[in-house]
Amino acid sequence: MNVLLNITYQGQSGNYLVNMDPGVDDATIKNVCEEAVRSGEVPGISPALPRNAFANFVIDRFHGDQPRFVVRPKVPFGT
Amino acid sequence: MREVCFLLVQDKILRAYFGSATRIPDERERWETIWKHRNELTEIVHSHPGNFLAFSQEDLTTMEAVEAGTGKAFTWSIVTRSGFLSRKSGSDTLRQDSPWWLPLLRELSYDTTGSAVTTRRTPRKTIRKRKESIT
Repeated sequence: MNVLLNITYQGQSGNYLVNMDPGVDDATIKNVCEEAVRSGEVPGISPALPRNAFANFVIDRFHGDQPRFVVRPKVPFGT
Repeated sequence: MREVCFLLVQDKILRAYFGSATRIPDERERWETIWKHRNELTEIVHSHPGNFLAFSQEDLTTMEAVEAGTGKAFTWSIVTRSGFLSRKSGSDTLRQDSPWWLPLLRELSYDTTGSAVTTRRTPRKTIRKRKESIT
C-alpha cells in the first residue's frame, strides 16, 4: 500500500510516497525516511543528514484512503 | 505538584501545558505549535516541581529533536521552587532575573495559591429500617 511520509528536518518539510505495510514499526519508518532523504528523493529536504537523524522523532499515523505518517520531533518533558 | 511548560515569545506566554508531578507527555499539538511559531519562539521553559535543577535525559533528547526539526536554537529553561536554569546552544546559565511569568509558573507548579481545593465527601450513612415479622 502507498503511504505518504511527511518528514520535517532542519526547518524543512517534505513528502515522500512509498509502498509499505502501514503496520510497519517506527524504527523501520525512520530508516526509510533517512534513506529517502539521503538519496535526495524527498523534495524540500537537504540530503545532508547525520546518522540516526530521526532517533528522537516520533511517528503520527493517520489512516484512511491515503495513509499518511508524519515524522516529527518528540516533545515530552520529564524529571 | 505538577510540571508546567510555557512556550514563550519574548515575555509573552504563547501556550501553557500541564503534566503530572514528573512528566509532561508528548503531544502532537505542542509540536505543531512549535513548528508554526518557530520563527517567533524565543524560549521553552518547564518546571521540575521535584526541585531537580538540571535537564533530564527526556528533556535533553526532546531539546535535541526540536532543534533538529526546526533548525533553530531556542533558550531552554528549568524552573524549580528556588532555581532557574537556562541553556542555549549548549551553554548553561543560572538565572538571577525574574521575568513576570516566573512566579506564575511556580504558582501553577506548586499550587501555592491554595486554589487546589480538595473536597472530602462525608460518607453517606444509610439507615435501613428493618421490618421484622411479628409472629
